[in-house]
Amino acid sequence: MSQPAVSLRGVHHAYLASKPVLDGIDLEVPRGTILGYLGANGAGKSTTIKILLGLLTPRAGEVRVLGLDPRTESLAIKRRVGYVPENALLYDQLTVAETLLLVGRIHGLTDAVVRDRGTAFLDALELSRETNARVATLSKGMRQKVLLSAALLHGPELLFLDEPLSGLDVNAQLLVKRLMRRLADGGRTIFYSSHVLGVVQEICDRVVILDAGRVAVEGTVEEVRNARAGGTLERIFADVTRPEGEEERVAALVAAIS
Amino acid sequence: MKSIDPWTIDVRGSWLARAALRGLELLRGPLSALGVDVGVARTLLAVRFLLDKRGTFAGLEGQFQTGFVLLLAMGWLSGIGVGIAAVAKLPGSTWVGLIAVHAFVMSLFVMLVHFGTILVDGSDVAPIAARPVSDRTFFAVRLAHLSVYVAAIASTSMFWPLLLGWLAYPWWAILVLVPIAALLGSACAIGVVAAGFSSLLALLGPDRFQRAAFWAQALAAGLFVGGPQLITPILIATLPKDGGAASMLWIEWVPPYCAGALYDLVTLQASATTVERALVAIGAPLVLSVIALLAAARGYVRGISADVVGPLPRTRTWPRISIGRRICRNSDEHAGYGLAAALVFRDKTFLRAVVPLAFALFAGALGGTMPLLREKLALPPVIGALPLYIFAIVVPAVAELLSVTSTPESAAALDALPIQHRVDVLRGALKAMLLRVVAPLFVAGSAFLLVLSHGRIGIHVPIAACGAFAIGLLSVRLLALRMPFSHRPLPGEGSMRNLPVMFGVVGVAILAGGVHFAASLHTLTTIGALILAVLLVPLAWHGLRGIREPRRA
Repeated sequence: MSQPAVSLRGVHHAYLASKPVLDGIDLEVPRGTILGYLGANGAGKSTTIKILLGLLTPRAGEVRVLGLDPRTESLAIKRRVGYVPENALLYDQLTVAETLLLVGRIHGLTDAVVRDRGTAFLDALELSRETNARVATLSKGMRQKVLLSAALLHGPELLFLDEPLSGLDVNAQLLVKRLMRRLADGGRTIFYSSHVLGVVQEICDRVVILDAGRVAVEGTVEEVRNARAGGTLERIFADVTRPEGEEERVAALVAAIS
Repeated sequence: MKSIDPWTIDVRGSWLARAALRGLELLRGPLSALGVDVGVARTLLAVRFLLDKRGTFAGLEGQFQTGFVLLLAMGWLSGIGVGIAAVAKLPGSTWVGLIAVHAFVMSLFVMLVHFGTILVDGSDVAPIAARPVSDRTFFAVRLAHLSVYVAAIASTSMFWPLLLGWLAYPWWAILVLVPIAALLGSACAIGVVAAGFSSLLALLGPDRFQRAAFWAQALAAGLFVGGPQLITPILIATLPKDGGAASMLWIEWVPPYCAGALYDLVTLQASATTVERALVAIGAPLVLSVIALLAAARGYVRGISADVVGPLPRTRTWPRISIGRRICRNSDEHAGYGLAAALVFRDKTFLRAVVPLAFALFAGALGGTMPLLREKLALPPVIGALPLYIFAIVVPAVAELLSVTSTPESAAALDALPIQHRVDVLRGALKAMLLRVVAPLFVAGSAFLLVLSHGRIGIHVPIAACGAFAIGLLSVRLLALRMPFSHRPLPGEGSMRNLPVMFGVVGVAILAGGVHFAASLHTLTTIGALILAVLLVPLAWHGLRGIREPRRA
């Protein structure tokens, strides 16, 4: 059996010692699969991705990405992965083409290759008219398309996607979903963090639901549904992560603004 | 019409960028040996210059150039003294050494006031942090970026020595040695700063780096202003009493002053140690740069991404809110007060701008009081309080800095609120800043002077403190200010708009110091000055009602 693309064992992390964000995460992501990584706000999804990229060092536990340790080999990992962050982290005053050139050159691609691939991505994502536009002038969805193009430019083996469909129009969403499936079928691995559970149910091979810094649910979509007596992923997510007293909280909110 | 290829990172329009990229290419061998990916470094450096040129938003594009040109002009002017020193016909080696020292001091100053933050600024790390760029490459890019600007400014100081040096020294030696000495001095300063920061990183680790770097910057600003005044008496005390120069020979070995040995070398007047001293002058910047690069190898990107401010302490906020309600006239003003009261000790960009300024002024006041500490000088007590007038400049300076922030995008959230009068928000923020930052500075400065003088300058401290505060406060209504916490400054950015006001405040403060001195000659006039100064403060505070509408970004 081949080595998993991602492996986490007993990973703990806390920004403040008294408040752990990850509290003993155990997880494996087989190669060539799409993992839906779910959890409520503040559950530790983005923190996990930052640890996997070597941007954060966990307080405890063992982490492997493509067989490498992010603590000591983060540069080698970054060469082989692509990352679409939750917030559009781009230089506002660079143009779209300059942004892709910057990323491509960092990955060691020639300008000609960046131009060819970049043009293809921008055409496919209907962004070619904005090639020479500064990022600052783009809409949220357009920025997301630039991030996606930048993440895919060097043909990564593993993709970390943190809400990649955020702000995209329907056509672009359909295209990206199909692209993700094709990439996974071609042997690439996708670590997909999202709150859009319909999409997760549609395209992911496996799902993990985090609650209070721990893995609360793990398995294929079917396994998870069968274990929870059917229902949608949304229902299962709510059962696992929703605190008690929703009605009372809604009433309190309405009362507060009345 | 010539079409522009969008698939290029074009820096052909910037000679500084081209020079920097050429420099990196020339150093490819040694840099690669040190673990720097020169190809990636070239791309990142080109992007940094491009971003500098384009500014944060289109409307501000001219500002970076304005600030940079001002610094170039300042460098050019600062060289007059060293140039004229040539006429005094100092020994050639001494004069060349002075040129190097002048470039060193000039470069340190430029880094303290503007460009030093290039090495520690984490605001633009995020787009690169997840890409395969090593810490050392990242650091090398920042170092090259900083070096080009600092060296360019320091090199303008060569003009006067080049022009006047031939009056006393061989012209060919001037042509060769002045640029070399200036560049060695500048490189030495850059090396000191870079090695200092990266040593902090290596010693304290990435998580504490930003906080340590912040306090190091503030202390350095204080040392830069107050250090010479503090060190001079010590130096004088250690000078040989018999006038013999032999015991001062160690100074000739101190870089960058030892660059003076190059003069002896090229004019064939070498002594036993000339070659060694010349090697020290050339080697010091190199060694410092290598130390800096090596020490930055682990955790630099994480280090500059860390926060300057630690976790917030759990303090009760009701006293602040209560004061805010009392001194604000409407809800917009109160909102501005709350915003500034919360952010003045948390926004790293604001803190980085204000705290070094405070340290520098403190050091200036301390230096000004030094004569009082020397028992032999029987100066009138009022002299010890006059340095407090320096503090007048704090008010307009901090008022202008109130707009800087590390998160300018949050200003959009403010714009979305139903604010009736933006000027009220600005006024509220100014009040919070005055109460929470400026007033404590004045109190601390006054207390400091009182303690330092053992109370000898007594009544003159409140006169000077109130007078300076009022002068500063009165100037605020003349300033063109932006909305609070709405703007991310660029390195070297400067605005001409408020410069006349700043100079005006300095002028009025000097004048007020003179009036204060005159009033101190008689007890009655001294008391009168105290009453006047104390009454001026509420009057000037009232004047905040007349501040100008904040500028649009």
